[in-house]
Amino acid sequence: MRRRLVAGLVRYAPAAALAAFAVAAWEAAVLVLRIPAIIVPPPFEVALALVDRSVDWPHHIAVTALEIVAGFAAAVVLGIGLAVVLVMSQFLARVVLPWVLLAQIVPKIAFAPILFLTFGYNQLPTVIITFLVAFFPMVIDTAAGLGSLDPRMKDLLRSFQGSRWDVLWKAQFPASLPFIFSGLKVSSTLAVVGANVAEFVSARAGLGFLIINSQVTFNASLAFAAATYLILLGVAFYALIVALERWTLPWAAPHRAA
Amino acid sequence: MGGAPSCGVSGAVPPVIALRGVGQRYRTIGRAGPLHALSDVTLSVALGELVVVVGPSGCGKSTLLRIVAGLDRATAGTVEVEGRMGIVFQDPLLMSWRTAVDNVMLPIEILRRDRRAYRPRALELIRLVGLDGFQDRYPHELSGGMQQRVALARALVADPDVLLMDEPFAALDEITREQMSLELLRIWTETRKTVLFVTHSIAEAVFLADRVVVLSARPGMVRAVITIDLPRPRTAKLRGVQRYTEYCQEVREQLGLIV
Repeated sequence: MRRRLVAGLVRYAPAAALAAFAVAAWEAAVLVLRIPAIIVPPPFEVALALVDRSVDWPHHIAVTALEIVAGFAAAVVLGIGLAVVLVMSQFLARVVLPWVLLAQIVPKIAFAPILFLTFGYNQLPTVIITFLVAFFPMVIDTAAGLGSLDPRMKDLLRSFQGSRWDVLWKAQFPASLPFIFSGLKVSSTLAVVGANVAEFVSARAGLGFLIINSQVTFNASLAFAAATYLILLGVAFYALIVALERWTLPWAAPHRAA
Repeated sequence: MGGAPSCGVSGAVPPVIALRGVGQRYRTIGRAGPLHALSDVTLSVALGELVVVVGPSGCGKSTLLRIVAGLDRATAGTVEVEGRMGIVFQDPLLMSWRTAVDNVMLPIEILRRDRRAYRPRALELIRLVGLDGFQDRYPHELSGGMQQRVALARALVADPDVLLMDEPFAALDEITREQMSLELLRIWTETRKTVLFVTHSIAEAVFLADRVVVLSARPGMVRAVITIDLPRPRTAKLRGVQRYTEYCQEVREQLGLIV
């Protein structure tokens, strides 16, 4: 345990040193070049904004986190579900796939103002945008994973009198898990972006709302602080998925890079 | 050939596998016309017998096994198999996300049998195939030969009546291969399964078989059925015995290698 901790420190020390150097350089540059805080706030002021009691951080963080989780969860469930349907039925794949591809090409954020008009100025439009942005990689990666099974494995299961569902659940689904996890990683980062940008449009609360609001009030350190929390949310989210992957896919461990 | 038991099944033991006039044509795209894979194959395997089908690459011997397994349908002739089958393919086809014992348990799960009741049997089979202590390893932690042993245990776990083997040792190095032949004979002696084994190795065929069925090049037809009258249990020493080499020569003759 202690050895792992030391090994971890040694491994991430260079990256941490780089971050510390960047922050120090930033602080120094702002001081030396006398850049006004409304243009680039020094890191110290951003740090103060992070703990500023006059901003209801827990509320805004919770609003954005909920939107991300809701949109992402819907994308995962419906994305995997649609991928299963596409793989199981060639007919439905022919009907649906062109529309899924079209939906991916459409710039979804362009519909955000309309969604706010339709569903009101609450969290739902943001959740929908988050869902739309995160949905596509889930479908594509899961479908690719389900299709990645060695066809001879299907023969093997059929030789044991296995049904199509046996093939799906015993073979295709587990074989697709590494693909699903790479889809989850892409989707989760997109979900953070989606929620944030949707909040820019017309939200009443949330980290994206704070960022767009600080533009009007010339409060750059507030924007940086909100972005920092957004980054932390994204990192926490990503780390959760990586942890889940390690726990679920112990057999894939030797093939995984860092 | 007709329906006569042309393969000379010994005594009154009823056949477990009976193929009559089996043919297979594949429709192909283009002008080449249908691919004629098998033609009029009549063959029977008796209870507890170990029959090896040997033939050149592309003679349709794997197709023949797939037809027996019910994975492909013959375009001509009839196929009768009594009892359940277990199959071993050339590749172990293990599930990388399952440990050795869980791979062995796969047929039990598919057949919706009681997992807890069969687990001791799965572990016993792992011992039988010589993998004691490796039951909790993942496939990537096992060598090719060990993976194929797991595949063999998996084929045996649901206690099939017939064991179908499609070039199961072809991907292994020669040393492992000879070792696996010996192991297979030991397991066959212990379990008394009916075995239909397909290979392109003449030495392997003669070493293992009660009878060797020689197929011609495409379309695969039965050239000859040679009863291998060599004593059992067979050991590696057999490979130096004159009768054994004579049988190998006979198979080569039937394959048209000796003119």
